[in-house]
Amino acid sequence: MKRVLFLIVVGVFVVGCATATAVPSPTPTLPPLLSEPVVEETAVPLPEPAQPTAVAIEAEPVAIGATDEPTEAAPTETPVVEETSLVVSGRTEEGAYFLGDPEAPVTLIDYSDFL
Amino acid sequence: MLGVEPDIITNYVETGAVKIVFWPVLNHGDPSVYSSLTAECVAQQDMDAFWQVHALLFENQSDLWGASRDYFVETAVSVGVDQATFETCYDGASGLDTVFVLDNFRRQRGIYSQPIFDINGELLAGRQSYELFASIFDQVGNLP
Repeated sequence: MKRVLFLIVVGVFVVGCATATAVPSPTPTLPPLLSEPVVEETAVPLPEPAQPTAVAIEAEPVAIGATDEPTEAAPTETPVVEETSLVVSGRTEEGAYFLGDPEAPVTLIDYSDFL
Repeated sequence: MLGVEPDIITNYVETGAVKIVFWPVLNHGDPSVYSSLTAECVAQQDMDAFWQVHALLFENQSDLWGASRDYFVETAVSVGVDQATFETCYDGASGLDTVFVLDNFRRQRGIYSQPIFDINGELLAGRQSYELFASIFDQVGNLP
């Protein structure tokens, strides 16, 4: 008898679970989107970059394998600019003797006797 | 020329504004010939040496009237040319031919006296001051 009653109770329980209306599980709600900040189009001056300050760095040149012996500063080579002379000497087509830039704008012909 | 020539060379030739052409004129007989021949025979070896002997000959102009062959040989050697080569030219025909060809050229151009200066076609007779040369150079050459 008790067994029957137990079975009846279990059955009732089972039936009750099956007919219960499904309660949808609550969907996780996302946190509301934050509104985009409104940027006012006003010129905001950027801070000027800091001017580099000249800092004299006095660093002693260290040669590889340097020893404690004092080292002499390497001589600096100054570039040599070769100046091309405009003064050339030569012969004219007729065989006379000229001195100066062949393309000079002025030609001075000196008809002279050595005496 | 000499005279104002060094200043012209410094201020106009070395700056590229003026080119000087020396044209020998033989108006005084043998002394003119041998002087010009000396310059020509030096030029055949070295054009830079030519301008040195050109200056020497004008500086010692008073010596040229009675100058001997040895004088001209010594003058040539003093500017660094080879003596033997110079003497071959001086005693030969090629140098002399050149000197006379140049002299004939100037006669054909109507140049009979000296000095005559032709500056881009403008003729000047006689020695001139440096200032006049400079003025003409600046004018005919449109120099700044």
